[in-house]
Amino acid sequence: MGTPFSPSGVVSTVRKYRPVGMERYIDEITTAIRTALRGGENVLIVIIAPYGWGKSELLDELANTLEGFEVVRTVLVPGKISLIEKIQSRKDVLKPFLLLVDEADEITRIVELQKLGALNNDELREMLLGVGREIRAILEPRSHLDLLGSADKARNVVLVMAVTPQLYYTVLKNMLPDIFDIARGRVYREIKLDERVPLWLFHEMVKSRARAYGEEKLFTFSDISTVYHIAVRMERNPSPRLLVKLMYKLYQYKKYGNGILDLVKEPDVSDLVKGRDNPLLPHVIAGIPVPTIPDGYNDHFQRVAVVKVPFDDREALRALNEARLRYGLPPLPTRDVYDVSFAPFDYYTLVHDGSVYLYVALPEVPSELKQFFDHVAYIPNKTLLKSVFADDDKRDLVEHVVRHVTARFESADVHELVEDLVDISGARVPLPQGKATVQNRQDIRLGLVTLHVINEHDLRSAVSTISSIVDGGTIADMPVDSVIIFLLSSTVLSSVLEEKAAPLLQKRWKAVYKDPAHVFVKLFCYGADKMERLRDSIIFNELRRVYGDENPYSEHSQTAKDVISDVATHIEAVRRTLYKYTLAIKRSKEGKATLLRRIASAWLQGSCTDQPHLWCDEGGRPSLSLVEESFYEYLAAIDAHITHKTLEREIARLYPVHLWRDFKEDDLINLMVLRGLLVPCGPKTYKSFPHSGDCAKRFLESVIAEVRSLESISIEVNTPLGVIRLSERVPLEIGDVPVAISSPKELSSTLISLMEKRDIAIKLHEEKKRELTAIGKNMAELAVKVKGLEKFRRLARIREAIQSHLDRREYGNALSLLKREADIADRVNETIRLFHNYKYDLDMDEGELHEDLEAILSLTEPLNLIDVYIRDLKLIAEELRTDRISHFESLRKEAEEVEAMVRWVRRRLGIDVKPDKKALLKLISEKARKMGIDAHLMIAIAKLGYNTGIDIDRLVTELGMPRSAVMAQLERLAEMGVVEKKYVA
Amino acid sequence: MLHSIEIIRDPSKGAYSADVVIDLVGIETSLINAKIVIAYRCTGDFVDVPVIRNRELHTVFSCGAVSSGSVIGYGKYTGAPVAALLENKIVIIGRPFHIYLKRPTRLLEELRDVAAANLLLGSECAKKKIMELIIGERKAKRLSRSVQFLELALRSRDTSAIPSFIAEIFYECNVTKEDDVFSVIDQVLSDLYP
Repeated sequence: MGTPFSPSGVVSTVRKYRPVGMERYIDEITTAIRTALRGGENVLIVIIAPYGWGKSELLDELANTLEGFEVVRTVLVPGKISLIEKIQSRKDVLKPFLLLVDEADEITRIVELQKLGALNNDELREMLLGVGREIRAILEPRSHLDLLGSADKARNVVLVMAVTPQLYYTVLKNMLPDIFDIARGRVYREIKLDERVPLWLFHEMVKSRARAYGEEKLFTFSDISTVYHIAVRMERNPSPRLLVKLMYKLYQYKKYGNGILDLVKEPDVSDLVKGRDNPLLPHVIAGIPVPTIPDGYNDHFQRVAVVKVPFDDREALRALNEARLRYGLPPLPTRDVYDVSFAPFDYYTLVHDGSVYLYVALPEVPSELKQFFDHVAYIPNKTLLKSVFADDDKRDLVEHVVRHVTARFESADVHELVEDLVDISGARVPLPQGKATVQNRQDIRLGLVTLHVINEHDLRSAVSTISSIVDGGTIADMPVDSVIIFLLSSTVLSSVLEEKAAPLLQKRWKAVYKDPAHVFVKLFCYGADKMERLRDSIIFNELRRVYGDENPYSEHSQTAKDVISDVATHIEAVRRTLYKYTLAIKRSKEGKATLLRRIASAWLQGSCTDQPHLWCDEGGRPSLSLVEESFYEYLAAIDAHITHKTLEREIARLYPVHLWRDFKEDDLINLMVLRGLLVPCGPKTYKSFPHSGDCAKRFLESVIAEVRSLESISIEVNTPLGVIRLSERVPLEIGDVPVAISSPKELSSTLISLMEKRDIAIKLHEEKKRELTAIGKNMAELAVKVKGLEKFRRLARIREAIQSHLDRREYGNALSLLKREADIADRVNETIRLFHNYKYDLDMDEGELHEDLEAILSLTEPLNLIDVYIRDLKLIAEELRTDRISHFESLRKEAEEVEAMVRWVRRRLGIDVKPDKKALLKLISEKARKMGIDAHLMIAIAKLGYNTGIDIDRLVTELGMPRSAVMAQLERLAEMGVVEKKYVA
Repeated sequence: MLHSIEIIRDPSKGAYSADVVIDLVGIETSLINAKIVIAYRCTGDFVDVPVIRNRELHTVFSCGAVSSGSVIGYGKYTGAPVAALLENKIVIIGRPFHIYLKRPTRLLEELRDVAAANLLLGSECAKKKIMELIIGERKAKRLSRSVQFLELALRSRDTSAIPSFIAEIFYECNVTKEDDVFSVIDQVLSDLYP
């Protein structure tokens, strides 16, 4: 015997119930089939759904529904593919033939096996080719008659295949694209089953199955919602198969056990429900508000009013959502009935008379929903919830987010929230009717503007704000490359906002760009009709941020995602367009000025450079870049002097300069001057060419004057001899430069040729200057030495001579003159140094030396003579020194002799005398005469001093007396005792 | 030979009769009885290195030009006549460098050379030149007319009888006194006929 639920989750051979919720797919398929059959074509319809999502049931239902068809069901099993056989075994060729193919999963498995290496490629290919061949044969019988056998039997065939997404998208579409590509292949219709099973649908399914088995009374709504509640806690969007398996278990426990109390002990479920022994479990486990609670447990519950609102009543739904926001609850989806299902202790859904109703728990009954009030009920409070269920409850946070967002929307202050939504941050500025944020990253300068409109006046003001942003490209003077505008109103309809604002975006962006403003400006209009959508988007976006990947509301955040992806797409598009307005040059050693000039002269000559492509047109010929072209167009309309600063500011305002590579505002100005598009007109002031008047002429003349000024060089060197002025002329060929200009190109070519000349001039000028500086430096060094001659009259003459050389620009001569004089000065210094060394030997005063030197230095070429003078000075000094030393020597000798005589006279003659040479000689001479001794001999003996040995031979030679006479006289002296015997003085 | 040097600083003092007189005050040259007179009579126009008969003097510099006598020295750079032979004295306008007066050995050496080269002038010079002239004549014509003129002049003791080309030699060699002239002629003639 069968049961309404099977342990494997699939239907057994005999089925007693009809599936619920398949109606819309059945309708879709039957419509498709009938349309195809009218045309007499064989068609292939593919039903795509994951495992356990009801494919087989849908096929069953289809077989039951379609009348007048010959229906055959089969399975795709490798090796046993026999679609053609089925057709050949057709009974009635007049009846349309419906061939249902299920369980194509087999092929998926085989593909997996092949990936693991269990099968070889040939088998897989063979199998897939087989499937493809058969399907094609059925769809195109004319070309496959040999396979089909009979053409008649292959007429009016509908092939319906149920496959899993992984098989369909990864294998079939890739391997058999001729069949399964929806655009080019032979598949007629792809039907994707809605993957969601909302509570109301599940409830209907269970009821229908139970009814089919006569067990309607077995399950209460509470049981069903308990299963759903558990399933929701297990998988966010519970699959049908999970629900059916859980249901089967509950069915078993209901029949043979303790029902729910056993279910919560199931391994998978017990992890989720920790408070299994809690007496209040039965009141909590269903996840719905309960009408009654046990006495004494009031503290654990919260009283709520349940309102019952039909999903089809849009107005009531809107009022409900408004109320929910007031209570801090997230709004419920309103678009698709499959979106509403169940939220624990918040709301649930049920079907009554074919319509879906929402049962929503609210803290109180709002007045506008009074007629929908259903009953009073109780929901568990947080403490109880936490003690029963394992997972955290983020309800608080959600409540906070929802309250916050709602409040902001009420006070029309949503700018910061929109910032979060589109992920923009930066400087905030107030605007009339709203706020703006300018994000200034190293990317596109992005602006976000939110404008609130209440009445006509506001709308006009908002439109003019948008208009000024579009024209000016700035928000509060901050330049932006792109703007995202949120035009919001709770009173005006979106279409009205759109109607007023959209035409503004047809204008040129910043009035300069070739592209219309809507490329750069993304406009979101949220009028009264769409305001709530924006609010919901923001709420769910905030919730997405709160929860991250585990967002239970992810299915609701689609509108937010749409906005985000719109913005991302927009930014990407802006980036692509903006790229055209970027400038770049290849860096090189030459320096930027030269590069710019190269670009300009390439433009004049029509030959390309190695610079980026933007400097050329599509044909590869040099042209103005888009930036220059548009900027020139803009400037050409202005007949006024424009300062450099203003130009820079305008360029920064109009173009994404921060995206330019190696190119600055300044460079653009310089390049445009080189191209003759901008004409300098006074200091740091410009005019565009059409309005330049005779500025071009004056400018060219000033450049010519600048070049001419390079012709003469003059440097001054400070030296001890005074300031030396060196000047030189650079030979330049400027030639005749036409200054009457009639077109920018003419101006450009004249200017560039002038600048080339200027470059040459600068080079020559600098070369000469270097030479002169070197000479000057040399001169200064020499002059320091020459300064040594300052005490002599010569210096004045040198000064004069140098000056006259300088006057005649004979710098070489001046230099050699200085060199010679420096040599002379060295010699003079040497002389003076020597003089001071020998000053005392020479007995000469400085005046005399000066006179000598002055005389020598009066000569034109004194070097030779001064060398002689130095040599002789040294020699003479040395000689004088020697003379003096010998003079002192003789004096010393004489003094010694006198001393010796005094000593001798005192001892030998006994007379006390003074050391006076004359008196001594006289005394000794007298004594000698008295003694009858030769005076000279006596003196000679006296000079020897007292008690000194007498050398007779020496006396003989000294006195020129005969030896005998000397001996005789000495003998006499010895007798008188004046000398001792053996002759000692 | 030169031995003594006298420096005249005060015109009222001194004998003015050393071998070399350095006149710093401007005495009339004829009053000075010396072989070499160095007169410090600078005009202030120039200073130069005196070159006397191809010899540069280093101990003395010149500072003015001679006004009389036969010029024997010129300024090295200016070419001015800075030294002359006058009344058998060598006159140099200039002054020795002070340093050479401190020990005059070098000064004297240099002046000695100058004197040796130039004081030969006079009789010796004239005799030599006239001899050369006569020998030249004899070589060319086997007979010298100059000898006849000289013999005639010597016999008549009349200087006017001396032909002008010989008179020029005397003048060149600064032999001007009549006695000297005739003594030279006498020597020449006696040398010619040994």
